[in-house]
Amino acid sequence: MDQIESTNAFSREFLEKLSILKQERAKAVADLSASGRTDEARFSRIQMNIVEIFEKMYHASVKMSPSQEHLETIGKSYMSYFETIPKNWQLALEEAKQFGNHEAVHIETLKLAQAEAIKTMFVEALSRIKS
Amino acid sequence: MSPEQQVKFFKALADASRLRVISSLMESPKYVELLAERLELAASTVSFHLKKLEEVGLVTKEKDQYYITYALTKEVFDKPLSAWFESASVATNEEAAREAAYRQKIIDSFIKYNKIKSIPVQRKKRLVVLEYLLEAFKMDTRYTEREVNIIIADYHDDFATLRRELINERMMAREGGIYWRMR
Repeated sequence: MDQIESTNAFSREFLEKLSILKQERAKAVADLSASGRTDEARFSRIQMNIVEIFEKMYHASVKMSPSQEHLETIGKSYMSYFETIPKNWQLALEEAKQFGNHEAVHIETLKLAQAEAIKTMFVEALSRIKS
Repeated sequence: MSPEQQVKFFKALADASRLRVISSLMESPKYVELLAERLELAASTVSFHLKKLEEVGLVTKEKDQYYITYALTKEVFDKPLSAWFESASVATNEEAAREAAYRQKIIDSFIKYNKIKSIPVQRKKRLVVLEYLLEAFKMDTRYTEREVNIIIADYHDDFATLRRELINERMMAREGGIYWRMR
C-alpha cells in the first residue's frame, strides 16, 4: 500500500471511530432527554459538540497538509489543535473554580476530558500504524 | 421565598436523576461514591446534582473523618406542598413568577461573574441589567461622580454610559456632582 493509500486508510479508520463516538453521544442525549435527565442530556450534547469540533479539525489538518501522503504532517497539525483549542476551556475552568461556579467547573471539566480522550484515541491509532 | 427562589427550587427538582438522589437519601444519608454506586452514575455527575440540591436547601452536608455525607434537609421535606405556594406574590400573581424567570434569564445572558458582558440594546433588558447594577449602591448614601464611576467600572468599562442610564431611568439622581440612589 503506498503512502497516500495508507494515509487515507488511517483517516477513514480514525474518522469512523469519531463517528461512532458521536453516535454514542447522540444516543445518550436522546435517552437521557427521554428519561427526564435534562442536565445530563445537556452535558452529553456538549461532549458531542467537542467530538464534532475535533472531527472538523481533522478534516482541516488533512486539507492544510502540503501532501496528503504525509501522515506525520497531518498528525502534527492535528495534535496542535489539542494544545490551542482547550486553552480557553482551561481558562474558563480556572475562572469557574475561582468564583465557585460548580456547574461551569463540571462542564469545562467534561469538555477537557472529552478532548483528552479523542487525543488519546488518535495517538494510539498513530502508534499502531508505526509499530 | 421570592419568586426567583421558587423558580430555582422547582427547577432543581425537575430532573429525574436528582429525584433519584432524593429518593436514595430518603433511605439514609450517603456520601458521593455510595450514591454513585447505587444510582449507577459517575461520581462527578452525582456531585453536580448534590450541589444543585444544596444550592436550594434540599440537602445538607456534613464532614466526618473520612467522608462528606449528604442528607435531606428535614424541615424542607416536612413542609406540606401547599406551603411552597403561600407567598402572596406567587399564589396570587403568576406574572410575578414569569417576570422573575425572565429577569434571571437576562441576568444569565448579560452578566457573568459580576461583570456586565454587554449593555442590552432593548430597553426592557437594559432595565434588568441596570437594576442589577443599582444593587452596588447603598440607599441613603451620597456618592461623588468619581466614586460612582469606580463602582460601575467594576462591572463594565463603559461607566459613563451606565451612569447616564441610571440617571435617565431615574434609578439614581444627581445634583451638583453628587449622586444618590432613588430606589
